[in-house]
Amino acid sequence: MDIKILGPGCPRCEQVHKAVMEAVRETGVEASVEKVTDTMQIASYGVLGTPAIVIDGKVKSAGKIPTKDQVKEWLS
Amino acid sequence: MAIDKQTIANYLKNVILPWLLLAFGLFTVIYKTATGANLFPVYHYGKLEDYALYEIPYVYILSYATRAWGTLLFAFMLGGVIAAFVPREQMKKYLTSSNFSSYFLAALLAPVMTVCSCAMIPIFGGLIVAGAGVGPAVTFLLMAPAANFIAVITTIDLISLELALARVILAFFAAIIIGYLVSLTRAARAVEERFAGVKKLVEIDIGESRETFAQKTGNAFREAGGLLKKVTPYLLLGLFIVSYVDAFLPPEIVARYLTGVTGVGLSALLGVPLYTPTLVEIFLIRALLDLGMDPAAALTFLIAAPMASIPSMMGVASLVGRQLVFNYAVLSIIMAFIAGTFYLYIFN
Repeated sequence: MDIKILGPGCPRCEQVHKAVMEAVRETGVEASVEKVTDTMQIASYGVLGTPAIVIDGKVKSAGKIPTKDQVKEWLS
Repeated sequence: MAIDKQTIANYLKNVILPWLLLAFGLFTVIYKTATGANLFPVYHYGKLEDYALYEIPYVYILSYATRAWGTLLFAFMLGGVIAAFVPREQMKKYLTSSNFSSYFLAALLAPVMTVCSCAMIPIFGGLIVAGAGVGPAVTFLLMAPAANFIAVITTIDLISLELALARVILAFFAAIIIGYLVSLTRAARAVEERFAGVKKLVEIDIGESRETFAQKTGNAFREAGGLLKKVTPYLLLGLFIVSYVDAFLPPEIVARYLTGVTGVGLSALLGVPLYTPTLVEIFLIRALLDLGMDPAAALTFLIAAPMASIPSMMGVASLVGRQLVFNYAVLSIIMAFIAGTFYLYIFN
């Protein structure tokens, strides 16, 4: 599973990163988690808000801080 | 799942508490507006010159902490609620229609789309990639910080309802005019050509409607917490500096440079290096108004500063190049000057 977290690196992005890492660890799925911080790259996803989560090429959330449990649903 | 104590406790903490905090914050704001007095005791420091140098920031921050906590609580909770409940992906299709109404929509929707200024630049880029055109994207970029809900509520509380309204309304028209003018420039066409080559990498699969009310509320609470964590250190540092400005800037200097047309002109330019997107500007303007700054000059500062702030311009320039940023920054300063002068002659 390929997970990307889009965000310029504000505290909210850190919160999302933490939630994703915990969800990945607890569900035990094989996943690579990558932070995308470059503005041009973030923009190319066309999302209206950061932090955004992209899982296997699909934008799952944008401009929100989801809970660990919500992330787990997307991982299953 | 059986209803046990744990579930009820979680429900109270995650769903009831955020709304209670929001309602309580709102109540303190309404109480203050209606009665002119604070709901809870406020610390007054008297005169700043009576304190030792190291005591000044302490009493200053203490005074604001007791005076503004209700407003800030309301502002941040509302910010969180907006971030969690506003369905932004659905807004995209309105913003990307290429007729003139997208300018108005960009200006109207900007405040509800960015509660956190750090998200502004990626959204600006995202709008262009999604096909919004450079003009409406610039309108969005200029309007978002000027009409940000947290900033507006704090302005109403600390400065005045009149100035807050003037700020939002004049920024609204300025942002639309500047967005339109910028879209006519060669730099804008170059950016549009370059972005036409950037394909959207992914499909959007956001289940916004699938989230339950409780989940959204939880998100709102976390959002508010995230915002608070981001802003607080800057706010404290900013107040530290503002307390010395308040204590030591001679009123004669304010009277000479920050009143009349000179004041409006200087304020339009001063905003560029002085603005930080962290509410500090509102406390600074409050202090300067107390020292005798013209309200028209204050308004000019509050319009120009967020539009042409250095950190935001640097971020945007990395995305669309310096020429476009230069165009809209110069236009912002000119428009803010016009708005301030207009206010000066109409209301003074």
